[in-house]
Amino acid sequence: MMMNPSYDYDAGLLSDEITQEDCWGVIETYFDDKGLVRQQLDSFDEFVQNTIQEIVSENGEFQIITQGQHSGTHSDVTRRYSIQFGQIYLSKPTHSEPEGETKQLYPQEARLRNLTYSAPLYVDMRKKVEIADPANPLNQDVTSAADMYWEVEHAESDWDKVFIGKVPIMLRSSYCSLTDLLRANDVEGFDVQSVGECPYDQGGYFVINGSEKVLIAQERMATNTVYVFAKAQPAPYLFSAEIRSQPEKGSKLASTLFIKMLAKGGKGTSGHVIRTSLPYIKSDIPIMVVFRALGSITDRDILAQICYDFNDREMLELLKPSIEEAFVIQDRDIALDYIGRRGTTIGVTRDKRLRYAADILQKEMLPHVSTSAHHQTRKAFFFGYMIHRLLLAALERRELDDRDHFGKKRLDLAGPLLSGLFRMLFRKLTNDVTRYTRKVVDSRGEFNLTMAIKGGTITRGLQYSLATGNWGDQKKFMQARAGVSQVLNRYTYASTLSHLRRLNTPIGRDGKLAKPRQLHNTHWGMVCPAETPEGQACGLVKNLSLMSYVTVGHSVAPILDFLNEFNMENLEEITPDRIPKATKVFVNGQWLGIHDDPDTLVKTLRNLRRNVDVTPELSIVRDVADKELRLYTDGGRISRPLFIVEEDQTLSLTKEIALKTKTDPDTQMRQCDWNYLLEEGSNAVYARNYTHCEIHPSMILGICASIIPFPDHNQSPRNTYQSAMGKQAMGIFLTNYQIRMDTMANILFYPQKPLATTRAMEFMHFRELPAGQNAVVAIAVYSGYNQEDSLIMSQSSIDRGLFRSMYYRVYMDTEKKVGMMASETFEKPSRDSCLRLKHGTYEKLDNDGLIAPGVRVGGEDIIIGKTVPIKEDSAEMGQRTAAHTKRDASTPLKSTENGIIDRVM
Amino acid sequence: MTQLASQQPATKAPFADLNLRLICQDCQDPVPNIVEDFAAGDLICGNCGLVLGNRIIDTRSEWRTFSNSDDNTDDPSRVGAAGDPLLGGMNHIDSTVISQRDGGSGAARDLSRVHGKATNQKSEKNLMTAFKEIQTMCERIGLSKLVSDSAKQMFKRAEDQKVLRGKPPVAIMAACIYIGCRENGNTRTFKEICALTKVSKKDIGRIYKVLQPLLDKPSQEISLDSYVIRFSSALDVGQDVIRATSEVLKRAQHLGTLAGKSPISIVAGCLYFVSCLSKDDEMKSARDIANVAGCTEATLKNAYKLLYDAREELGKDLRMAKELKALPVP
Repeated sequence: MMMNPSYDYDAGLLSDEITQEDCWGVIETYFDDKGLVRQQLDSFDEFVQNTIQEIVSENGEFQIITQGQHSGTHSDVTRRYSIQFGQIYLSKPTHSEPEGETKQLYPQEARLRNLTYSAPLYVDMRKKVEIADPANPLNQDVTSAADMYWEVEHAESDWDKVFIGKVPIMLRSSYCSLTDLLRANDVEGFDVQSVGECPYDQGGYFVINGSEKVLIAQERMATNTVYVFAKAQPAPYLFSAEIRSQPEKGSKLASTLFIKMLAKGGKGTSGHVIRTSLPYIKSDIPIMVVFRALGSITDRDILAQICYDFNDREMLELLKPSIEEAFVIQDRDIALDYIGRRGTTIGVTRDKRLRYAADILQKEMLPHVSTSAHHQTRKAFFFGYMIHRLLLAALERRELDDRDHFGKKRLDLAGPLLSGLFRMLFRKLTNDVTRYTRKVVDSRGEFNLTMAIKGGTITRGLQYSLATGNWGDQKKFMQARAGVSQVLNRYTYASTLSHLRRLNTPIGRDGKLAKPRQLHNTHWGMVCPAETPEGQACGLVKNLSLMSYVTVGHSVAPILDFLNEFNMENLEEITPDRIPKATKVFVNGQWLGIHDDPDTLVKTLRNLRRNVDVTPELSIVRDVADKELRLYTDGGRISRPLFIVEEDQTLSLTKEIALKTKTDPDTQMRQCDWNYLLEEGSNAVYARNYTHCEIHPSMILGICASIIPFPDHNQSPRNTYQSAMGKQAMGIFLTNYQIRMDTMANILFYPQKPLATTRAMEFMHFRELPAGQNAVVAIAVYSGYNQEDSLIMSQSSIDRGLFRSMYYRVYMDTEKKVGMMASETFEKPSRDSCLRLKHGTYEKLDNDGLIAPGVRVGGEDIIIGKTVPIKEDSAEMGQRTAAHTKRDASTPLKSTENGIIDRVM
Repeated sequence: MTQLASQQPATKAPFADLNLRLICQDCQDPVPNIVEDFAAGDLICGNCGLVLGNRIIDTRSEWRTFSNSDDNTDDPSRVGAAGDPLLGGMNHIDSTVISQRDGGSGAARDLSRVHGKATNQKSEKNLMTAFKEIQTMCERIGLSKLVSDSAKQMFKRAEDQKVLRGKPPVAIMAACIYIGCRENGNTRTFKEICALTKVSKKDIGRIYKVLQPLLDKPSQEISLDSYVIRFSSALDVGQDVIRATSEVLKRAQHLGTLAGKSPISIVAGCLYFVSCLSKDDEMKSARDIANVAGCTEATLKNAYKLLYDAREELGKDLRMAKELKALPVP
């Protein structure tokens, strides 16, 4: 018998061709390596490992100067007290018992005892007292304190590891106690189960006062990107170019700059003038004035910085009205004065006004380009580039920008959210220390460290926001964003996973605008096309696709070094006429220079990234048509892995590597490129050549949509409906449900793996923790009671356990106690001494006022007995007799429920 | 149907008894059995079933929000913060503040001055700052809310009864924290409070003596066990040592071996006694223990000497690593 080779399935395995199975192997290694909540964990780790220290170093120094009184006495000197915060230390999560014992805390204990899973933060502090003696010859003619000669009066006093607050720790992050257990995996009996944790729980959330809280990723527009929009007419202006500029380091709020092309011409001009807004300047300034204030004086210089090419008649023509408008201002000082007059300073000298205007241009305008002196050229070039973009749009040479393009969106995860909060709280803490120090210095008291540093500020501040979801100061919670932190969904395992990968767009739910809610082309592979709620939040709340990841952000310094080494010409060194032929190089939105050979540059950068010589998070966007190369290293970009396609149009992944991946994940990861947020930039040259290849198309789906079998054969809203309902399925949400005390929990007795599975279920442990049972269904007219979406079930299958489930509820009560005052007591209330007894039976209580495990209880039975003393003078409407000293405050079972007491803690 | 009767004023109270009393007209029972049926809004006589009143107001705590918008506006049906029992009746006044709309001059200033005078805001403000400081200090050494509340309560009592006029407030706070700890069964040593507040031991002791009679009940005994736990935690010794120390401590107290010694030296002595019985690498020197406990090495050694003399009784079945023979001769 001859075997037909085309039916030989084994042939695929032997040949070098990469099969679907190989792709799934790659996907499996990806999830084995990263898990499903990597974006949360990495974001938090970045905060803990780098951001906290940065914030402390950035705001960690302050000085108090007591001026000398010039009385001539010996002791009359100017003193300077400075306090500095240095190195920080974060310990493992701990808890201090009232006895004073401090021990390591595990998340399960925090959940059960309503504690916060947080770790103490310590900081090294230094205090220095210096004096400037006016008698010192060096200080003879100095008036300003800054220029004086200071000598150290006191030996510096150092405090090491001062406690400044507790930081909640994300479960399974690098500082979590469970991570150590996972590392020590080999040791017998030393795993996460030993501390009451479910091995399938993947962390990525916090435990605050015993409840699990997730930080929902917040979507926002990227900073440092130029947007050009057309304004719907009639409006004061036709086009606007906008940018929200924010420097890489530091906490300054983004400063917005608008450049507008007015609809009507100015006085004595022949067309549309272009004006710009400037921070702190009340009225719009003609662009030419800004250029002159920045030091480009002649019309020719300015036009070169906008148009680059003097043969471009059309564009020059558009600029003519603006030149005419600024004709009267031909000098730098006059231009600065023009700006200064429109600022907030009134009635100051011209000198001060000029300095004020120059300061605004240096520090407030386009801070992402530079905030230090002598960078006017760079700023003028960027300003010119923005006008260039505006003119291109006005001339219809370049498309208008799309607000909803996902490449220009950034996600704020736990890290950025917490760092914003921590920065605010740390400032509050240092302000308190400053105030205290000033008080001590003024009253010549002793500096008491315990009084100076209030550990509660940071502890309580972080806890408040995480517990309530009001992101911001407790006092001004009206301005704060609500719903940032949510209680982790524990209906079923898939709902938990989905919740940890959710993102929210903080714009008004009642906005009529449909655009931000629609599925955008650029969502491909980044967010799930099916999983979104219906109704008010439709399209605003999204879910990450299975393989997408959010970058944490890296320093640009190594990229800058590389670019300088690789013959990029800096903006300061070039003449504008070279720009049209060369490719502009942008890094994080900042225009650094131009390059003549972008092909090689891009190729080299890609190779560096693939060999992890620069951060693998680097995004490289080559825009051939517009002659731009945009590089990004900032945090919050969404990214996903793809296969690399070599120049000869073959996959760089070979069969050999694909088979090896299962044993050696490292080799494989190098073959998948991280394609970080491809921006638009399609063009004819590249359309013929592929650079990347999808790993598997089903990876565009999110958690809930991945459970649907054959989703590509459904009408699209059906997938959306199932994605919403899948979160309400009953199964086993975690294996440790018996020792967890969730207020409500449903457990299915006999959950089954579905008969029609998807490959992605494997990574979501759907087989280990299933939600549902397979049922045999007949579609038939039976009695009419199964009309529409109702159904009739077989009694005998129910009797045999089909869909049998268990419901847990926790009843909780505490003895309230305020100081040493009379307080509530747990006891079995008796009718003689207690008023207002409830009608349920008290008989099931033990003498300690608590019910015993195993007791069967029904509606309104009392399960926790508690009494409150009555106030002396109250007569309770005459019901009270001398024997009545207490009022009942017991907890009855809900009237509709019955069951068995499972556990009493 | 109902009969509302205001009874004669109680003899000892200076105020009239304003309590409402309800009697069932049918039963005429002076101590009626009245059932509140919140679902129907009725007051019912429990004996005969007569409805004594309808449309009663449900006085229980209530958690619903009546605002429909989800843009996080505060529910206007709720007014003011929860009352703080620590402040007694005062906090009702505290919640009213005159706004400084006109920049704190003119009418607003006058109003707020009058308001301040009328409500005795100054003493209240002082109390609030003192409470805040107590809170900070308590948090620093990780004391529970119960302890800090007790301390605050003590402070208020001292302030109200004006027993400590002219004493520095920090010293009063220190003594209050000490009492707060002790009354809640986890005593701190005077030394620990001194380190926290920078108030001398003498001052705390003096104020403590004044404050002690203000407690309604005899003050709690010093809880030696909490010393054991805290010192052991600071020394970083194992659970077996803590267990054995508590055992030795109990036996010593029973036998009266260390009667008359100060609590700290008793605990330090016992800790040293047990520590000498543990494994070599887990042993702690007398100096370490003395340092943690805040006593001198000599006092520790003195206590140890007494324990050593009674070692046969005290050291029975301790299940420690070493035999009693291993104890160093004092």
